[in-house]
Amino acid sequence: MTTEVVVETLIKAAIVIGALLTGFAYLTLFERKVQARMQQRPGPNRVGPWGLLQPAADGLKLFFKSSSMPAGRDHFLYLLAPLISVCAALASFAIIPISGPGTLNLFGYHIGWYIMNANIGVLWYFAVTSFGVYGIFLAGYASNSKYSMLGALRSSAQMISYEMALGLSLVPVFILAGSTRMVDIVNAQHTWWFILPLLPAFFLYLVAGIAETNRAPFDLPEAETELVAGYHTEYSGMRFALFFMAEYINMIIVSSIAAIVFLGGWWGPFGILPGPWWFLLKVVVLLYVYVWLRATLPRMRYDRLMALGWKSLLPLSLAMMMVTAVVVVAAQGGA
Amino acid sequence: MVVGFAIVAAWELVTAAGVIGFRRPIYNALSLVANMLGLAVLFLMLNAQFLFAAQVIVYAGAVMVLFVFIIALLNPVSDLSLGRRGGEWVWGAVFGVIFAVLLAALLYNRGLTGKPGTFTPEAIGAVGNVQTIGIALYTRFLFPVEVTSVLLLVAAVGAVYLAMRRIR
Repeated sequence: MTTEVVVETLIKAAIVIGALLTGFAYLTLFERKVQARMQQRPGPNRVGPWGLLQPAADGLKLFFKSSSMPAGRDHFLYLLAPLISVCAALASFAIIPISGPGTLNLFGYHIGWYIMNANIGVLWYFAVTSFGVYGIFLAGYASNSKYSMLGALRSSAQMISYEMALGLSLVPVFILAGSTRMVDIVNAQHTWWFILPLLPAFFLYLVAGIAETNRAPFDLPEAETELVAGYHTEYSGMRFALFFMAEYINMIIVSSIAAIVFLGGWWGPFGILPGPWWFLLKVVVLLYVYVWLRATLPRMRYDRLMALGWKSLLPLSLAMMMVTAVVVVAAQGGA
Repeated sequence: MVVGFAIVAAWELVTAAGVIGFRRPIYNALSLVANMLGLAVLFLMLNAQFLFAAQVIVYAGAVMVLFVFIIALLNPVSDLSLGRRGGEWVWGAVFGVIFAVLLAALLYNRGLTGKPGTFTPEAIGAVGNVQTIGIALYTRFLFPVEVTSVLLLVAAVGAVYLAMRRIR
């Protein structure tokens, strides 16, 4: 590994983190605006034109808020938990190729459109998110509060259960593309996006992804009516903002993976837009679906959530995997 | 590479000491998590990216989460009031010596020469990381894989049976 590679990776990581944090800030505004329109109200419109400075105002407010901590907490774990959440969320973006094929040529260098083009691809995302569970669980444990603990338990159980369906729903894609490398998966969709042959898998992924990010209608860990705010009840100020940030960045990442794996990543149906814009457009559409669902559907009951994950999504994704494997082998002329 | 290995090795030793050193069970469990992460990083340094992901997903992400779950639910602060029995140190020493002898025998017999084997980074890179593991598992080691999966299936059925019996 040369110095150039290290510097290049660091610069790319800095750009991606900056973009993700900006994306997080404006995703909150996007969510509030869209939800407001769906509920016949204008939404935030006082700070700046169309409320565009609202995220900055919110950020400043959270930054200057006094940060209260609960008594009887486990101090070290209490401070560690939000950091784990945010780091896990940010790190998982490393495998996302924003554009392609080929490289970005700048100052005589050929720069890939990704931080790393790992052979394990999506597995990196699963490894990192499975570690993100600790952020949520430790937050609940360290807060010394019943609400936090219950929220953390629900959240961990939910994330572990839905991770399986999420992972298995992507296996048909690997079978079709013949690779787990993100760039290969997108290149395999040059003519047909995988959403066409794998529509059921796309829906399975979408549902499991929403549950995995603890979003409505699967936002049981933060059910306000029962648990105040779930695992981050006892967090305030910037530390609360970190959990918030992790949740929204995870939404962006789940949408990005869906855009790459099912919606053809940087390929557009007409060559009007350059690659990164197609990618961005697809991610925004998927994020809109997130917001749309939140504004539409009521929260599910916890036992139904678990039953859905284990008794419906998991068998369905297994079946989808087998069907795809059989069809692919048959198409290749039998085993 | 050597510096990286030294850092990870030091991390492994410190976290392994943490597993047995801390007084609060949740910290013991988290030290084990940190230890497994270090192990995963070692796999990564050996160009075994798939093993890295599997190690993190299975051990740090699934198995240890359950450990931490149970520790947090059992409220082990009260369990610590159980007095220590005297024999622990003796048994610890006995098993420590046994494992040390086993490790030494392994090192002596296998003769860690440091010579590269057949799976060099280039050989893996030509086929792909995931593919290398897959080919090994489903051709050469197919029988052990199948036996293990049957074993796990039996365990799962047994767990369901035990849970159902309690409900009835």
